Amino acid sequence: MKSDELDLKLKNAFNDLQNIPPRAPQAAARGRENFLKQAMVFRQVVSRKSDQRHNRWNNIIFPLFQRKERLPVLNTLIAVVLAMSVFFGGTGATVYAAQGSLPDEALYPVKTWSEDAILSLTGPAQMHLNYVLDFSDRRVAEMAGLLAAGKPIPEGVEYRLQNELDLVLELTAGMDDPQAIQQMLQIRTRAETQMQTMTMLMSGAPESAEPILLRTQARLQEQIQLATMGEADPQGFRMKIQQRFQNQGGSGEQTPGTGNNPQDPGPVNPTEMPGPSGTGNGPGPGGNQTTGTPGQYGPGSHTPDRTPQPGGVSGEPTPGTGSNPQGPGPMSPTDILVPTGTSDGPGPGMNQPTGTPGQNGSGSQMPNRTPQPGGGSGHMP
Amino acid sequence: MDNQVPFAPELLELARQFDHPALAQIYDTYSPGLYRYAMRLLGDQNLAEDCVAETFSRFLQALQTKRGPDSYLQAYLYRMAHNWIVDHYRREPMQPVELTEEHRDENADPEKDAGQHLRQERLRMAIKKITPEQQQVIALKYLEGWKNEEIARSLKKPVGAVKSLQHRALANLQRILNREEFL
Repeated sequence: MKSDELDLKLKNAFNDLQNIPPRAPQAAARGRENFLKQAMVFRQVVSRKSDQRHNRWNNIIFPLFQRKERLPVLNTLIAVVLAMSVFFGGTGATVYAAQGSLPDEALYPVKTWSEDAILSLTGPAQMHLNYVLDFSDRRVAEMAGLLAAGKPIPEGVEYRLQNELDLVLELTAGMDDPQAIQQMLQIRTRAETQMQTMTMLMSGAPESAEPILLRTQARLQEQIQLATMGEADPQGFRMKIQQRFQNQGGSGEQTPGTGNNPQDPGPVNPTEMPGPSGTGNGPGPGGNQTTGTPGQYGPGSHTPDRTPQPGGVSGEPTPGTGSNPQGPGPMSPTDILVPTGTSDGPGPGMNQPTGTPGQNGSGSQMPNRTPQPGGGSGHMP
Repeated sequence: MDNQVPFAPELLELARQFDHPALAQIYDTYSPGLYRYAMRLLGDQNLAEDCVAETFSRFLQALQTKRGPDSYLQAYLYRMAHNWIVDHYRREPMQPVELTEEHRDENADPEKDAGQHLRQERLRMAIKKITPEQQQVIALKYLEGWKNEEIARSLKKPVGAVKSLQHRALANLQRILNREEFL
């Protein structure tokens, strides 16, 4: 018998096996959901790519020990380095161990502290953006992890995610057009993925978790819309972001006077500490600006330090350096808030525990944009 | 008939980064076929679902440990599924299925259905008795309709070896079924 020429009876027998009942849709959906949940967990613990691992020490340290001749100075240096490693090594290990922790675990503050520390370092906006996007993925994974463990989601996780989503928009608004358009795609894709996860989580979430998940879904939807808009019209996007933060700062519509939740894992940026008086949000005259040709939105740095400086009531636009002294400099988040350089901050009580609900300039869902004490008058644009 | 689902290598690259939409697309593309494959060999919906779930779970584990497929994702997934089925055969001997009221269908022809069910179970029992590689060749070739080249990729063997396996598998299967007076 040639292998391809199948005996008729055997062929009929195989045909019998072709007839199987259709797959139950509920079982198929459940299987898909479980698979994607599992993928989320794996994603959280997946290691960095090999080229991003800290493995250069392999090539630096080992050759030192392979030398035949002795180098006394080098030996001393190695001894000092080793002593420091022993001394500080424990801290490093703790920080490393904290990276997979959930908000209800003891090491979680270390995790958020390490994230804040990374964001407080100076570096290009692109780098900060990538970090913040990764951190927002972490927040979503934390929500999934908590729900999977049957635990409630602290509001602090939600606030932190919202701050990260805001920071992503601000950083992108500060980029030049080609770079911003490129980043919009990434932002949209990430938000869509996070949205899918939220939808998935909603299906099996307890009733108590629904408000947070719904608010997060709404915020992610907004993120997708803004990124989509930014891809088509970066300039319009900047205006929208500027308007958005002005509105958020002064309307008091969202969460008046609540301030940071005590369980809040902390601000995105460690430099943004709550101000004691909560008056004024504007950067004052030329916040974060130095010298140079005035840009469209003013110059400034891309650093995530978004803390406005105390300023006068009416500042003049201050020229700055920007990345291009002859053209519109890259925007800093403060530039977006105050394009004209006037201290038209949203007013008192932004994120202040004592803020009065419903008043202009009081309260905001932006717990990390707390103004420093100063002359901000709370003028609403 | 080419049963290979069109597959973009970029999708696998994204899956390696645990990209959510990419993984969802992979699941949606391959899970229906894997379910049918498992169902034909196992004859039990719950077991078939378990097989699909475990196959995709192993796929994720393989991605995490950088042992995932280099290419030919479909061949890889069917190989994983078949390994699970063979393991299951070893763990639990096939139990005869009893017809209960749940199987009752007013419009069905009970005599015909029972006959078909019996033939299906006998063929499964016979397939179970040949070697795992022969089982895979038979299942992919005659139940899934794959080409020899596609089967060769899944088994990681040359096409000639697949033909040889196929020849021996059919001969063995026929012998087993003849002995049991099935044919």
